[in-house]
Parts: sequence; structure tokens; C-alpha cells
Amino acid sequence: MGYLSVELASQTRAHLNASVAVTDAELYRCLSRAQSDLLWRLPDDALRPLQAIVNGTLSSARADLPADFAREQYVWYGADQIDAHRVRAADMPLLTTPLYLASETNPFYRIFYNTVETEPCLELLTGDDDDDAAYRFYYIKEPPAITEDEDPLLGQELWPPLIYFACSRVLEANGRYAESAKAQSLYMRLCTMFMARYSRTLEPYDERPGDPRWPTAT
Amino acid sequence: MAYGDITDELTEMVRYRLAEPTADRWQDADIWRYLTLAQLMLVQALPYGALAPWVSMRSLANLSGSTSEYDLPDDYVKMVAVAYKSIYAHFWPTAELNLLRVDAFVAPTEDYPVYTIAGNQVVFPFTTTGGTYELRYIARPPDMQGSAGARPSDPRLPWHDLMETFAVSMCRAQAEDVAEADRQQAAFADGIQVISVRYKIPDTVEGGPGDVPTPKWNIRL
Repeated sequence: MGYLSVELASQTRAHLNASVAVTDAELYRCLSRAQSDLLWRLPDDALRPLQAIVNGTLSSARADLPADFAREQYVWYGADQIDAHRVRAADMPLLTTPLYLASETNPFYRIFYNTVETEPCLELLTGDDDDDAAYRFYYIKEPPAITEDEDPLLGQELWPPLIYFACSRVLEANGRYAESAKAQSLYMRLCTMFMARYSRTLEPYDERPGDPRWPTAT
Repeated sequence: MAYGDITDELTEMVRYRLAEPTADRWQDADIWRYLTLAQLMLVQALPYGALAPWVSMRSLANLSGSTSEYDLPDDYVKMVAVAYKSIYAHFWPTAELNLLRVDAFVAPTEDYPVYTIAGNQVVFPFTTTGGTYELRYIARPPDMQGSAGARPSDPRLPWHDLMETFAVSMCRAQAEDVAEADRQQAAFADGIQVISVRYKIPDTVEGGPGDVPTPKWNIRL
């Protein structure tokens, strides 16, 4: 462990002028921030190493979310693994109407902050407040911080955006704002490329991940 | 991690970006105040789907007969849903409350409850009886400000880099470095949009927080 992170840090340094001062600890912190930023910027399909699954059993129709939870992908309910629908805020008043009536064959879920446990909580709506059925939770996890002992979770194809983001932060800290802005711009451009390849649109498409769909500005 | 460690990490990162490792021009209290403001900005700007795991609260309280107004929780920011005796109530705009009196067709009842928010209270504009009501609301995250000698609390929201960017922008503005403050503010706004778009549900699609539909918001080509 750590071989990849040392290599990533070394490649990042290679993008910085020798006159730019930065310690290893600072560099790893910037790379960690880059990893977290990509987590929210890129489509799920581009973040395969961050996809995780939890199998568990509900307790009173609820379950604590994993400590590294960032955002959910799917919630499957019961032995038949029925896909539960997320309850949208605007739809909550409809929960008691026949159209939305939750049941074991038509389950809904919502996530809220449990003030007692002080952590996010998953709640399945199946018409049974004491439900203790099995569930399967697909989610995107928050990657651990990159250190000299902790390798980045993202694949090497995503290293270039990580490097440009970290360079942007280091240059900013060195007062080189114009160069920092340029590095940020390069980071955005690479993100746009990844987003275009993996974006899902409402228009029909053939394959998954999607064919490149360049921004309309072109 | 111990209480306050995450805030220490954020403070250190802001200081690194400001090139001021130890307090001189900007005190820790300034940075904590800006980080707190960043959290409040995010709570106002992001959609419910993004905020739900971190600041969406549930509160149960008793109804008392013939009382229509009930105080909102101290940490209330915005309402998500209100259930009156297990029946979800529909929101009714305060400006149109009078309509409930003059139009029998929309008159609320215990079986068809409505609510409005007025005077820092949730109001059920009909004759209530005993029982309970439930609020689901977006709460104000704890301030990241320590009292004298105490460590500041940790951020509730997970978007640490965005919070740091906002704090850097405020510090730069405080130092009258307007151009850099503006650049950081633009990055903060861009980040908000990135997260918001992820939780935007297209008109014809129902479901979870979807993948990004089209990358239109940060074109730099």
C-alpha cells in the first residue's frame, strides 16, 4: 500500500515548477480534496471503484447507513429484491394516496438524519412499521484520504484530473492565481470529457456507458 | 476522529490556500465564521435530495384541542412535509388563507388537512383536536464556532472543499483581493450547481439521484 499514492504525488510534482513550494502532506491533502470533488462531479458509471453494496436486515423498517456513505444508487427490498422508489420531497403528501400507497410489493424509501444515532438513516416504507426484512443498498462511498500509506481508490485513467486539481490548489497557495485558474480550467475540461462519455440523457442511446455526447456549445 | 478534528482539517486547508499557516491577518474565529456561513449557504441552495442524509430532521409533537399554531423547532430552516395525525397535509400559501374561509370546496378538515408557515409557527387553519403531528424539515447545521477555550463543532455536510472555497473567497474579499474572491465565489457557485443537477429529476423520469444529464454547466472548451 502506498506505492500508487507516491507515484501520483510524484507525477503531480512533475507538473509543478521547481520554484513552487509544497510539502508531501500538503500535496496529499490537495489530492484527497480532488478525489472528493470528482465524487460529486462525475457520473456513477465513471466511479466504479467507489461503488459499494451493503446487505443487511431492517430494524423497525430502518437501517443505519454505512459510515462512508456519500450518496445512494439503488435500494432493493426483501428476498425478492424489489427496487424501492425514493420518496421525493414534493411527493410526501401523496404517500397516503392510493397511487403511492407503500406495500411490500411497492416499497418506497427515504433517507434522513437520525438525531438520536447522529448519523444518516435509511427508512423503508412498506406499510409495516416493524418491518425486519432483508435489504440491499447500492451506494457511492466517500473515498479515504490519500496518504503515503493509503492509495487513491480511483483508477489511473482519472489521475490527470486529480493532478490538475491538486496543482490548482498548490499554485493558489503559492499566490500564482493565473496559473491556478488555468489548472482548474484544465481540470474542468477533463471532467467534461468524462461526463460526456458517461452521461445519461433522455434521448435514446445504444450502449452503456454512453457514446460521447459533446456539449451543445460545440 | 475526535470531536472538532474535521473542522481543524478544514481550517488548516483554508489557511494553506491563503498562504497563512498561523493566524495573522485572519484569525481562526474568522475562518470558523465563514465555514459556518458556507454551510448555511449550502443548506439554502441545495435541493432536498442532496441535503436529506445530513440535515433532514423528523420531529413529533402533540396537538392540543382548538390550538392551530405550533412553534417551529429552533433549528428549522425549511419545511419538507407535515403530517397531521398520520395524514400528510398539503401546503397552503399564507397569502391565500382567506380562500379557505370563503370557498367551502377547499375547506380543510382533519381528513384533508392543510398547513401553512407563518410567524415562525406551523399553522393548521382548521379546528384541531388532540393527537400528534409530525414535521419533516431541513435543519440548520450546528455552528462551526467554538466558544472561549472550546473546540468548534464539526461540519454536518460532506462538501468540505466547497466550504473551504467559500471561506477562502470571504477571506480574500476581506483583504480586498476582489479578483481572487470573485474567482473563488464562482467556483463555489459552480460546485452548488454540480451537486444540484445531480439531484434534479427530469420531468419524465422518476427515481433516485440520477447521473448527470448533460454537462452544460461547466463548459470550458
